[in-house]
Amino acid sequence: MRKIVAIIFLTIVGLYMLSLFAQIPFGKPYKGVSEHYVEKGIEENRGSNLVTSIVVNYRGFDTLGEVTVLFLAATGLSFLLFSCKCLREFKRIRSSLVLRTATDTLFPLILVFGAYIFIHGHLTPGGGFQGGSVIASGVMLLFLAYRKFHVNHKALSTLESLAGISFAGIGLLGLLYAKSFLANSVLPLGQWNKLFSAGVIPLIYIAVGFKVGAELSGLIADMISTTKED
Amino acid sequence: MVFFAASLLLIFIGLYAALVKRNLIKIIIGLSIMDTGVNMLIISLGFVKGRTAPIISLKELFKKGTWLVDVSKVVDPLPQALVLTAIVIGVAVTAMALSVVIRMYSVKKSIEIDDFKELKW
Amino acid sequence: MVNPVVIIAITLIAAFSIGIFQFLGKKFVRGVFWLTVLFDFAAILSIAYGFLTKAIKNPIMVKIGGFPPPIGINLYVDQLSAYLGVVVFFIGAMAAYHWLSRGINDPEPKALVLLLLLLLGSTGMIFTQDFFNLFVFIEITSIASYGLVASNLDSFSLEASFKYIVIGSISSTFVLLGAVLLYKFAGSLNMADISAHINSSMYSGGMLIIISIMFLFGLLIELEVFPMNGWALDIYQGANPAVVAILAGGIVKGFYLVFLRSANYLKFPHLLKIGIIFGLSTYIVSQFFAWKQKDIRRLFGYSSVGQLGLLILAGAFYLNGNLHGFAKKYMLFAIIFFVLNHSFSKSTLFFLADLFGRRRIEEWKGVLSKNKLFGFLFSTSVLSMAGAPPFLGFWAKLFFILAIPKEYFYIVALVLIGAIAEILYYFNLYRIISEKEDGIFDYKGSIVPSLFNVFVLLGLSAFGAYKFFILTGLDIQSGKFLAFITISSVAVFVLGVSRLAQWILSLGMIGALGFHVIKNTSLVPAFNIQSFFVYLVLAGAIMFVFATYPLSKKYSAVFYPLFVFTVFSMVGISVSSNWITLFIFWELMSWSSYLLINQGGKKAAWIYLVMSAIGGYGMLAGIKLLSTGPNLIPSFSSSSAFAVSAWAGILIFTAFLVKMGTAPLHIWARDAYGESPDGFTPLLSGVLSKMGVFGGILTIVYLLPHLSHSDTILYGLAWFGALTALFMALLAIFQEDVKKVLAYSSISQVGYILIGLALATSLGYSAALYHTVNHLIFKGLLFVAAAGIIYRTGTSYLPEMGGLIRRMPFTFLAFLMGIITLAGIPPLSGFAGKWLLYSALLEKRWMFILLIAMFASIVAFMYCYKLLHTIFLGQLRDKYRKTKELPLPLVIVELVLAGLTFAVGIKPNLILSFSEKAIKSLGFTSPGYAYESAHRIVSKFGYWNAYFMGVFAVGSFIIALILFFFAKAKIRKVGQLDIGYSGEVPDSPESVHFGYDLYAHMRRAVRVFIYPHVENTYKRIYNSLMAFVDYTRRFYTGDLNTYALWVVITLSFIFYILYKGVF
Repeated sequence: MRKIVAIIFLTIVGLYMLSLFAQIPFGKPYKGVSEHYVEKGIEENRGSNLVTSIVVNYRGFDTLGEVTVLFLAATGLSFLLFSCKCLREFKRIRSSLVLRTATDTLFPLILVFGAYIFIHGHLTPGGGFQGGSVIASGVMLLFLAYRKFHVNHKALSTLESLAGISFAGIGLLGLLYAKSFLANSVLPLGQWNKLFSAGVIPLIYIAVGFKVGAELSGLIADMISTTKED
Repeated sequence: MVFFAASLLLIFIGLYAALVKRNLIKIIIGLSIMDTGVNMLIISLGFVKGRTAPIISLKELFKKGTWLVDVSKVVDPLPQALVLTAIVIGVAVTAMALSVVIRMYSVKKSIEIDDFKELKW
Repeated sequence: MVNPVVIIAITLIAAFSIGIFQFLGKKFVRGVFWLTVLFDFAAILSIAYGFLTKAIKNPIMVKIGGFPPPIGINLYVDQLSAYLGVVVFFIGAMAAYHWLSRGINDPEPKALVLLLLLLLGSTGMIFTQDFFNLFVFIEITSIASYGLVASNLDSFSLEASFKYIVIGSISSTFVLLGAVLLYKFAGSLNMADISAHINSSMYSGGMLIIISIMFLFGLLIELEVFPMNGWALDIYQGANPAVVAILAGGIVKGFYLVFLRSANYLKFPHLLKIGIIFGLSTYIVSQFFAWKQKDIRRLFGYSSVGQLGLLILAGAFYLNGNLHGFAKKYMLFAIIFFVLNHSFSKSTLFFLADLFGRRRIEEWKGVLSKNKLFGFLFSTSVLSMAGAPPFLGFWAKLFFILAIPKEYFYIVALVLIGAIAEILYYFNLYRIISEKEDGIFDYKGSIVPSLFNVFVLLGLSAFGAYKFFILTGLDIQSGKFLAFITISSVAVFVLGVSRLAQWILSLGMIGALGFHVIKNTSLVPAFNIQSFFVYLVLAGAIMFVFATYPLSKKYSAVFYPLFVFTVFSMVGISVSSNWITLFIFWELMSWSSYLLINQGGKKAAWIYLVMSAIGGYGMLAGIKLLSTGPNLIPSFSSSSAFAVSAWAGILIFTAFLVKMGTAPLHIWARDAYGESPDGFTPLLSGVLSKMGVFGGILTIVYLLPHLSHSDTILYGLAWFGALTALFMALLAIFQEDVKKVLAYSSISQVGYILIGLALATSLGYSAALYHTVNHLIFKGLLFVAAAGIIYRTGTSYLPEMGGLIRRMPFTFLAFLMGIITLAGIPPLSGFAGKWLLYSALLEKRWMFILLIAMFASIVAFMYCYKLLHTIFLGQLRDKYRKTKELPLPLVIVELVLAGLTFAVGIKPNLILSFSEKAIKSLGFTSPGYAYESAHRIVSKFGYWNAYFMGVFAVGSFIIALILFFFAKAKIRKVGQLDIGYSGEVPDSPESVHFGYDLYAHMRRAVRVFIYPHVENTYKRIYNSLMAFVDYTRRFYTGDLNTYALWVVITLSFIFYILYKGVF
């Protein structure tokens, strides 16, 4: 009964939305602010990756919010799961030798790869979030490989705080120097397609990378710590 | 067009799960599917046929002799930037939902909706 | 002024830094938290202050990243968002303080971070001018609330949190879709930029409307509109009240502002439709579903949701309702006041609910009397929530009603019905809480936040009143008078260290006002109908307040302040110059008298309040019908300028009929008179019910001539009056409680006055006004005597009394004179009233009504006799052998009143000379009768010589007395114990009192008339409504799937009504 009603009303809503999308041209040129972003992006930011320019500079405030959301999730999670040994019947089992050996080899590489991604965020695809996620995946691998693996919550938390503060701090510096929060005029813009270019964008993305890496690792650690260990 | 339809379908599959499934984890999965649908939709909104990614690593993408990029050669970068934010937010919500479910499980040893209908009327 | 973005940046840095500070200890974290909150609060306050003092003229625009708006994100802080920011941070700080004082579960730093980010999210939400950025901040707010809602970690809060997560995710999906599609549509995410791209003709195509609906629908879910608000109610019930206080008091208001602002930027053309459908249904449904609520938190939740519905309605009208000039301004203030009122009082209520901790309403019994401060905070918040004057909620509601265009009268009606429903359940709760019960009362946590909240609420109430009187351009006199009333009653409370001091202060204040009125003619220029009632009120009040002192020891400290408040608001009614001021003072009178009655019978007070609310809001609806176009405040005289529908008159008259106790609106009267504090009952009967007469005269004279069917209305009123006079008298003779007999007698007598009014002739008015004063004299006398007798004997039950003539001779004499006046026997003042009324009825040739009135006065003899007999005659009970005469103040008042009735009886123009002037001020040339000499009054049907009648009556009385003494020899005295009960000891007072059920033999004859048909009908309506509500509120099944389903159903419904392109 519930299913039928649900399907009926979902179909109704779906039809309305389909009728909307039928009117939206697919794959056609765009207008509006994006033109500005594409056309002036290099001139104003010197970052090759326009998406990064938008994410960190034009819409840097969104990204600050985004970082906050992730921070919030990490905080909320550790608030809710604090000293909760909720999932007692699940045990972390001993992993295979293959996994452990592979982890030992891969983990440093993963770290380097993640760092590479967020350091080159303004030049190549990717950035702080992607790099951070890659790093966190390395940490997850460690959790999978070693039953007794623990993260140092204190260090993670400090790292995450410092990274967050530096992001907001860079923003405030912009306010101080260019009368605009998060303005990209603290550092020189530099040359296009060079590592040291695009003003504060790489700095911010490094901070974001650290922050995301620390937070996601913390999330994983919090989730895992709800299970019983032996 | 097919991208629109597909992502709409994803959204509605996710919604359907939230409307019908009795298992809390399944509902969270539904929400994630819904998120994915939305993200796909956003990306497909920015797509332009025959254009390249918004990463200006080649000189020929510029207009002659300036730092001004030729708009007609690059897809819309803004939806890609937006979707990044949307993905992260989706992750955060999922994490919160999962942690709440873990706690719920510890209280009642169950993750069925029927055991969580105390608040009503 | 601080750059708004600094607020966000600093808060963020603080939140991040807590990650480090948490290792230094809780104290550091708390320090960081409080510093941040204080900084933010001060910063926003400075901005808001700038707007308030006009130091900042234009909205603040902050570019972020150094790019101009459509390119970069920008903040846009206007007046409203700055004010709202102040409220959010204030409530947030209070809630945090409250929560800390109750103890936050570990890890505390994380909770504080969540709190900070919650505040940050809502601030960003109301500051940003970018649709996608809005989404981000909405998510920050939501995720922080998900965590905080679950913070108790019990099954209730977790369940609520999970429901919130799922519904919130669906909501934000739609917001996100809407924002991105808006970008696709307009090529920008900036609100102002998009707004510039949109014109209303674009809504005829399908694209924009579906996009806008999706975006606004997402916000609408967060606004808890019916039918998709089950999750919100569950949060209110299940989550930590400290968190709920922030959500209900601050965050939801942020969503509200965002919703309105987005709709405005989108130029959404159907906002009014959405507002009416969802706002109104949310308001009505939640006000009714709250009736059957057993859990106090969920009850507050229903109320919150209802208020939000009202806000949505108001917002829709403000933006899209075609309001002009003043109406728009009024609506804006209505919204601001609603928001402020709800934020401060509801968060206080949640704090208090948390402090006391009990959920079930029955467990709250007696809380009010156990802790005075707690009681005060609770009462103030509840009163303001329910819209009692002079609190903020009242001004909000008044602004709202005035601003709604007249063609939407049905909205006014429904909103007022909802308001009555709200009063019904809030004060049912209040009734339970104010019940007397002993026992210890303890709470955990600090009461300081609630204290702060209420303090701010009181300040805002004063501001609201000020704004109301300034904006509406009502006569400033009334505004000042309102302030005077409040200040003086507060002064009585504060300065009155003991009951004696309070008594003296009250006497002094009422006396001083009376002196001022007599001396200063500016208040009342020429003697007219208004000054007639001013004198009536003040004279009555000073006598009755004088009589209260001996009784006052058992009254609480608010008795005299409320007494003064009631009296002064009645003066306010009498001097008011237009319908709105009349309404304001009317409500002041109703509420203050409710609180007074509540000192006695709780249930009686509740019924009184509900009936008063029906009357009062009926009057407001009628006033709304009177106002036209730009003239939102109809004055008495201006109502003659246009023709109005008969309903306006009928609705306005309802209020007066309720106070007069006219059947079938009388059901409050018996218990309210019977159970109110004895010191207050004389005022209630003698003066307060006369305010109905005053209003009735105003309506009939100023309004009724312009109504269609006015003759029918008047004739109907006369019948109501006559039937009330008869049936209430019939009911009176079967009562066994002295105050209840007098209660029925009172409304029966006021029925006579109503007949006089309904005649609408000068003779009719003469009769009505004369009887008004006359009734004040004798009913005041009787109630004062009754109060004294109850004080001395400790009972109001008639069969417990008897033979008191020997112990209280003066009282007996006074009581006898009162009874004689009541019965209308010459030579006392009662006769003249009857004579005038009958003459007036004869003149109009309403013979049936005349017959009924005469018959009713025969019935009146019966209960008069019964009263006199059962109290004073017969055998004195043993336990009263040592009873003394009443205390001196009571005896003085009795004798003064008795003297008055005698004097007026001999010289009726003591009253008539005043009433004549009053009648002439109404536009009549003569009072309908003439004097031949000072004592000889002539009407069409004959003359009446009061002096002669007096001499004749006194003479015959003396002759009868002489005969009695001569015949004395033949009377056999029966000994006190000379009763035969065959050795059985009579156990109940009824069995030995032959006055008990004196008219039992007549009961069968009139059974069908005295059966409580009306009361039972009300009960039946109430019970069936209750049952209906109890059944329908199962709508909120508690099942998450169902909640989500309703979201989808609602969306398809909105699509269906707003966009015809598909189906």
